[in-house]
Amino acid sequence: MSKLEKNLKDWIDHGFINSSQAQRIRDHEALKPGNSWILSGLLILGALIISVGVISLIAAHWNQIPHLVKLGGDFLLLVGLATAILHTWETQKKIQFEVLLLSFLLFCLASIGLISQIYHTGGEFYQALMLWSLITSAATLGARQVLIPWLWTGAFLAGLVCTALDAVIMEPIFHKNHLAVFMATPLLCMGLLVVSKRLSREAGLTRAFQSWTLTCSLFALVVVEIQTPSNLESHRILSAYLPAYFLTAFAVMGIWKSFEYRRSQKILLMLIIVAFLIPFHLSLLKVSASIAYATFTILVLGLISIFLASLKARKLFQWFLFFLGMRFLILYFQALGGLATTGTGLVVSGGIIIGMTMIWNKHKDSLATWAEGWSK
Amino acid sequence: MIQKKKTLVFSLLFPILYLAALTLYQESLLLSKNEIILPISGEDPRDLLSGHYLRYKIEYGVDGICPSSSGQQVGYLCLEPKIFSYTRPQDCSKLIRGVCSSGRFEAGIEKYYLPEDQARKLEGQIDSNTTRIVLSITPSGKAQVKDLLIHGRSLNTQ
Repeated sequence: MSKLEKNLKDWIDHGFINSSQAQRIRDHEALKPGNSWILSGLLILGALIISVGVISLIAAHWNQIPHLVKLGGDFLLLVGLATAILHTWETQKKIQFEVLLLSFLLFCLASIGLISQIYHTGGEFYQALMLWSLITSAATLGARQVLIPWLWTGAFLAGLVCTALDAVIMEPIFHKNHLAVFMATPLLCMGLLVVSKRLSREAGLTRAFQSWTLTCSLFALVVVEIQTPSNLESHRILSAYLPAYFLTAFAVMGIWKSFEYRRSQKILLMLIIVAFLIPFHLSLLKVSASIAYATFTILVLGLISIFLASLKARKLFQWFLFFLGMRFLILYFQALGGLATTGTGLVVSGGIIIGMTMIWNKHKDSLATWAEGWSK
Repeated sequence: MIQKKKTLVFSLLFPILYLAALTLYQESLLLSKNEIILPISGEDPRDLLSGHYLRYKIEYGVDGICPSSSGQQVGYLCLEPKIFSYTRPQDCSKLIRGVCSSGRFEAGIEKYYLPEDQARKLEGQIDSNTTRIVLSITPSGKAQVKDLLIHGRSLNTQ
């Protein structure tokens, strides 16, 4: 029995709805594209495999096919896909639309590769990703599901990070300071999320930016913790951090003007941003003690967990609690050093893991309820 | 989410038109009458081939290229007369614009794509003494790989 059927049965049993209302809910839910996620998932997988297959075919018969035919075929395929996308949009075939749009976007990337190989342009892969994400940004807005915006955002961010670290034009801004780049990335995602929420609240792009803001924050926290002392010198150029400060100001302004969050949630978000920024500046203050970095990571993870709970995002809340637990465990190993690798140390470590898991399992619901009520 | 048909048509047409324009631009670079042939040497002296790509250093025959070894900077390499400068030189008939990166001059022409079967066939034939690169260059200094010559024979006709 599906979750919906279980809920409907429960609601009928409690007298909240009658059976005709339950049937109307069933009919309404059946019309939603989200109900056929297995079908759309398989179709998207099929589209991906076909795209890879066509690219392999072109690559395998490189010599036999003249350049003009290769390019002509590629553009014909793009025009054909675009026509098919328009047709499915007009006829409201939502799943087919999504599959064709993904194929079109992948073929655009393949076309960049094809042009690059035919003309020996000699660029890097991240430049191709950057170009692809810029020319397909408008088409990505057509997606109704989260997969396409999620892939697009990932490619855009990967391209942007590599450009900031490698491109000549970016050197006077970032000075190849990877900490400044990784500090700016989640803030950029957050800024884009604020804009996206203003323009279209429930769009896939908003959910993609949400997901990447959290992912990039986690990644940035890992990067700042594993920085080596030899890299610290280049991190002392303060101007490299200016883009991140600008993005912080933009994100803070967007959050403060947002109608979606309560005042307490806004304050919580500001605290998260401040706690996130501090570890990136510890090297400027010549602080290199790992415990200082760990403290801020734990603080950020804890604050994000409470914020997610206040949004009633229980699954994400539990994931962040898990990350928090993992960081505590790593801190234990860091603190004890060699002692933790001895027989006794390993027995104690195993005991701590089991103990933490049991405590978490016992109290996870009450913890979530407490955190949900915290920001009221 | 896109609501209007016109917006959707534009969003789908834009990448196609951009890629078509990019193709035409690359084709126009090849049509440039300014053509030069330069010897190349391997990044790895034992083998120029690296997978599908031929990676090489171009022997420009110009002294004092990228004297500053730190950071990245735009550089101009003039082949007639043979000078290198960080500012655009006047009265240069054959100019290549590139980037000095850690003391190396790169103009985006340092690799050549080879299909798998051709790469296998050419293995062992390609070496620094016998291989030349054919470039077309525009007056603005944009260089484009046109062909590869092995023992004086064009790779495009092999």
